[in-house]
Amino acid sequence: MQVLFFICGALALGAGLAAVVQRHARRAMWLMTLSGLGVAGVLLILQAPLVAALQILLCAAGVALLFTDVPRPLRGLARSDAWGTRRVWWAAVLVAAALCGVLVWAALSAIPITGQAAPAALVDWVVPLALALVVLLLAIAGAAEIVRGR
Amino acid sequence: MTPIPLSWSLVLAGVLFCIGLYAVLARRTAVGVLMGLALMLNAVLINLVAFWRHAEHGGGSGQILASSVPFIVGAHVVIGLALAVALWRTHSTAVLDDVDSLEG
Repeated sequence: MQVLFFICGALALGAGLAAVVQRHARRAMWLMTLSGLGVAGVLLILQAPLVAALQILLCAAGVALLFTDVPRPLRGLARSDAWGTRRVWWAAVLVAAALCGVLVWAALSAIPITGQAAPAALVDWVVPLALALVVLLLAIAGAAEIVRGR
Repeated sequence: MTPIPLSWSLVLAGVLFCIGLYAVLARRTAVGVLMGLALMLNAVLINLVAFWRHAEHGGGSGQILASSVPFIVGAHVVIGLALAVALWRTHSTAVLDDVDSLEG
């Protein structure tokens, strides 16, 4: 189980890092999908199959998008010479490295975990989940309206 | 109880978050920034699930709460891509630094 965690974690981190430094847009999107699958693997190992299934669905949607005919504006974006990094990319590396150091130190310190008893009934969460679905639906409708360009 | 220590999951999530942070700060195009944000949200998801797994009385509510994060990721990707397409159409550029005016 621990070996699997390392494999999935390495996949998520490696593919994510490769996607971020990739100069080719389409390859970057493939690598992002791979990273998402690595995260789904980690979630499965942490015994959260519902969340892992949703993550896999998201990755499947990304793969489907990559296989379809990418709309012209996105093709234009992908071929843009601007697909690169800023000149002060080193500052971004410093900030990210500093935050990473703080987070790793916090994670490895002795942090007492105190859980609270929570009702484990799905009926308690059906309203928030329904609201999340409505938000997603509104986002899709809004995006379609933006792209239509009225 | 999972055999994976909590610290491992937190370190993984922390490093993934920082990779996403680097992408948000260093990438010039909207799509690049969106990818960074997606990585950060994935890190948050791992954190949520890890803390739920190691809580004393986890129950099922933590997983249900964490399952709302993919919906948020989906919504942000959809809106972000639509904005990137609109940006390309109106300004013929993908670089965020070139679109620095609040004027319509």
